[in-house]
Amino acid sequence: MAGVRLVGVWKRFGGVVAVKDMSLEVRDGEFVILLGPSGCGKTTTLRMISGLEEPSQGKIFIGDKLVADPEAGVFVPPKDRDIAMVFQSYALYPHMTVFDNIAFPLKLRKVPKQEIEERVREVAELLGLTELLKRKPRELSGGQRQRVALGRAIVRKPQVFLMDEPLSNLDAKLRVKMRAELKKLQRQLGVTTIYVTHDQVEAMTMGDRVAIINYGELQQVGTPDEVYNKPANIFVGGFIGSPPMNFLSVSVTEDGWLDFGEFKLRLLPDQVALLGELGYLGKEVVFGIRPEDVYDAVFAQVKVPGENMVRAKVEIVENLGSERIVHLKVGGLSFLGSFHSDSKVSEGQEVDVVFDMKKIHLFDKKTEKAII
Amino acid sequence: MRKPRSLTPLFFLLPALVLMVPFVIYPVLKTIYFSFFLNGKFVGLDNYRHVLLSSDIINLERFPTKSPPWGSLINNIIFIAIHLPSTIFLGLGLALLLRKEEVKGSSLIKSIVFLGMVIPMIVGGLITRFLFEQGAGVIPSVLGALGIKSLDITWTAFPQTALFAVILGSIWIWTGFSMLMYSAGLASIPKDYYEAALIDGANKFQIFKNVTWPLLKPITIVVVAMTLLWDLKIFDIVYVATGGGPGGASMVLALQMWDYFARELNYNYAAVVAVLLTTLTLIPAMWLIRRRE
Ligand SMILES: Nc1ncnc2c1ncn2[C@@H]1O[C@H](COP(=O)(O)OP(=O)(O)OP(=O)(O)O)[C@@H](O)[C@H]1O
Ligand SMILES: [Mg+2]
Repeated sequence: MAGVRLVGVWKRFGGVVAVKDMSLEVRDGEFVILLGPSGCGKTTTLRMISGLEEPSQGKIFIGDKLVADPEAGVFVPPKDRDIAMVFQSYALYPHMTVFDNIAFPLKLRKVPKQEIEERVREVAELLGLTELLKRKPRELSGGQRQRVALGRAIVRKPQVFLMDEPLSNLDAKLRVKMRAELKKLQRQLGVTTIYVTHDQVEAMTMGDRVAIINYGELQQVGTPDEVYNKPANIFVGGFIGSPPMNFLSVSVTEDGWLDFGEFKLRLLPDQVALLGELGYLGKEVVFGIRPEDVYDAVFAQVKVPGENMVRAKVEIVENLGSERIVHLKVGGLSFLGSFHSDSKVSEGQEVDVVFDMKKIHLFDKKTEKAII
Repeated sequence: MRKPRSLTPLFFLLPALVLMVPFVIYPVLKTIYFSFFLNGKFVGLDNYRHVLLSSDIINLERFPTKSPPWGSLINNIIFIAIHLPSTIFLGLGLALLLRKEEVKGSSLIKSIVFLGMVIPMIVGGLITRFLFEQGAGVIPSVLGALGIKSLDITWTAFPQTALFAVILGSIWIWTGFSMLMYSAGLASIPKDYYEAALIDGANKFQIFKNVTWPLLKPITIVVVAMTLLWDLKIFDIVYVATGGGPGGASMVLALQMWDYFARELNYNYAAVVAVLLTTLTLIPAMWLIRRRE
């Protein structure tokens, strides 16, 4: 078993910078998710780790072994990296049976026939493919194909699993099921796994840690809780969470209030102290709050009119059953609140809204980095 | 509902069928009919016996120990035995080599190879003849320069070399077809398969053996069947390059049929060869149609 380490890795395709100065450490046995919008460089990063793509610059280590460093002229081909990859398209060889597909990496490694047979059966057992071993890929359902692709990766007992959106071709229900199975399987095998997705639910539910990428740049690496509760910057705050975080421009007054123009909120004492220390008093910042931290006053625990409470107009109410997404407006400022399902708000009505001041985020206007 | 449904396609096929009856079906039947007659008399299978046993078709007195002529059926078989693997090998090889756009001059090489497919076969025959002409052609000159004096000759003029000149010329003419088919076949294989194989630990040769070649099987079937058909029907190139000579050394079935018909004015023997040739071509044709279904 081994971890994976990227140090200052770049990838350029002609003029396009696909991956920019990426440094990332994946620990032995860890399940790390690469998450980001389409075209942000997730696949490219994974392909560089696999050896299907050579970095333009930087070093990649698998375990203690340097596998890529263009400056030193080091490039270890995929077959010598001891990794296995699951492709988005599964890439099952269409002319081979399920058995042969799974056995293929072993056959190439000249594993004795008897052992191949045993190991394939073992993997098939684990993945529930025993009945399907004689079929060709085209005779399988999407979920079954997915499992065969997994089987082909597992059978070799590699150091690292690389997976590129392996669940994206499945329907919603199967995806939820496979999500749990995959997670369980990873735990069971304890193999270091790097998993690419643009689905934040997959990222939050499966990953030990999540690495969020935007425009080829690593934005934040952390546990699902960390990236959700302590986003490092505006991008991460906005990218994770649904409905997305509210962002409003605000100025911090010298006496510790947030002045939105239309209304004011009182900062907590330690927040004021921190902002004072960092020199943000009297400055403009970006205020962020998640919709679930905006309450219908009826259900709020701590409400102090004028300090964390404001009267807002209800524009639209989206009833999701478990909660109500309420589009709110104070003067010219719009934001979302995710209200308790028992909330009686209705469109056109005015409602008292409470902000959970412990859960607010403040970001620097220029660098977009988190202050609080 | 049932009747109109089953008759409608037939109705649309009618114009084609009307043309096929007098121009295809009738002549075919008439040819078969002719093959059983000689000088207006029904002779049963005598014509077949005569043609098949004649040294024109299979010359077992000379084949394989003595120099050609060996008979046109044997020549066709030799033709296939050399031409089919060569064009497949070369076409696939070129398609693999020139697969990437980045290969310098790849489109130029492709164009030159494909030229063989574009030019009329008659011109191909003429070019073949010149290619192997002593003093003028590239091949005798090159071989001569390499010190192989015995091949620095006009190939088409000698019984030992005439057939091979025609076969080699045909390889150039037909390689474009297999190259084109394989290029299209290769382009249709998703790159994921290669990458998966790379990660599974395959080297280039193993990838070719386990991924590329099996995935090209449908293409290979078409190429083999089409090449067999082309080889069996080969006529124009031989006609122009050697005329089947010298002394029948490069005679092939289609030209043999023409010879019986136009030179010996023996329609009945010509019909026999026609029937034999058609039967032979039906084998790969049926196989191809079966496999495609
Ligand atoms: N072979 C290539 N040649 C040129 N540009 C490329 C190549 N591969 C990727 N790119 C570019 O690099 C950037 C990152 O691509 P990448 O495939 O890594 O994105 P991604 O994060 O996997 O996106 P998605 O979620 O859509 O799969 C994109 O702008 C893409 O256009
Ligand atoms: Mg991708």
